[in-house]
Amino acid sequence: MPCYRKETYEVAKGYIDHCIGVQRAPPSETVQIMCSLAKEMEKTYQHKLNSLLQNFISCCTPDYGVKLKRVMEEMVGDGILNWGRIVSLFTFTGLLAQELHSKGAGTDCSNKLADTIADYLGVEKAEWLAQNGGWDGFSKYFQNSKDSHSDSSMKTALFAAAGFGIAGLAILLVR
Amino acid sequence: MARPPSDLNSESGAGDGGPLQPTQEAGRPLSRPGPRTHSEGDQSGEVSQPAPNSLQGGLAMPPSPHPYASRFPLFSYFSRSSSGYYSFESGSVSSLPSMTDKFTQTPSLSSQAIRHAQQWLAQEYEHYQGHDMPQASSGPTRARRSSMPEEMRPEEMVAQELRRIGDDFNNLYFQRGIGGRNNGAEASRLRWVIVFVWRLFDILTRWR
Repeated sequence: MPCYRKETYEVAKGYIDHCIGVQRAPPSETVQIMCSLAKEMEKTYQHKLNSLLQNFISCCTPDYGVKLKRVMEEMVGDGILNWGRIVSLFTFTGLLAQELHSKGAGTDCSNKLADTIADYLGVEKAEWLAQNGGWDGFSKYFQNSKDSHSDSSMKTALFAAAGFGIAGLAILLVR
Repeated sequence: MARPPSDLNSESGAGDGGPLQPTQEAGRPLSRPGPRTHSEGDQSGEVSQPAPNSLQGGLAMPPSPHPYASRFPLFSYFSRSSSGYYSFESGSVSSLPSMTDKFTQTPSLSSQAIRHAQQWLAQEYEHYQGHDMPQASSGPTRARRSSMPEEMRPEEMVAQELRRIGDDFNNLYFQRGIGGRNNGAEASRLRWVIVFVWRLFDILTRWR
């Protein structure tokens, strides 16, 4: 049976450390992509995520590892897991780590969050990760989407420039 | 003597239809002046018979409250006072021993409804505030409430929102990936540029 605990822990720890501002060795490509995606998600769903975070922190016991595991279990309660859900989980965990860090929580707390994610995704959902290419599959999935999106934008710009150029030439020829 | 609501809940079993127990009024004279507890009994001819478990204050039901109750199971879930006020919560409101001690006149329907709401709110407030406070109750209602996973609620909400956000994000990137690999979009853009240039050229030649 595949096990992605170590890789998942590395990604989670790297991302959480990035969120709370702890400098480490240069982050891996997977962590960089995760940071980029999480930043985009934070920007898009800022108010909703902050509201969820306050609700999550204020309502229950301070054992955030257990609570985070319940969130993960509930997230895949419908039997579906995709990379978007994993990004939303990481984004939320990063915000939680930031909040706890700002309130004086030590690195133990962030390590526990990373452990919780690694235990669940890397062990309990290892089969899904294996089917989707592991964390390399994650990088490829979003990198291809980004590349194709940027290629598409570039082609649109080129077509527009070509169109205006041809139109300008036509005007000059008519004169 | 006023008793905590949780005790009341524990005393009245679910679905018994009679929120007050005869032990609460044991020793009291049955002929104490007070309203009749089942005025509808006039229609069924029961009014002249003193109920063996007759309760004081008009906030109670006799053991056999109404002929309907024996025929329709729905009535067994109601608490009903003498003024006609029904409550679904059998043990929470209508069974107020303190009120039965103090009042000799049946409260109006509206006042009973207000008291019902106040009592319910007080119980809910106590429940939410006093999770770790010692409770004298070990009744079925309390046991049922403590077994409810209320601490799961915010986590479920967070999980559902994260699921929705994640699915939206995934769909966005999936469509980007599909769109980037779609050659039909590029062909349509090229067609649009050609048509644009052709129309522009046509307009200019006509203008000239």
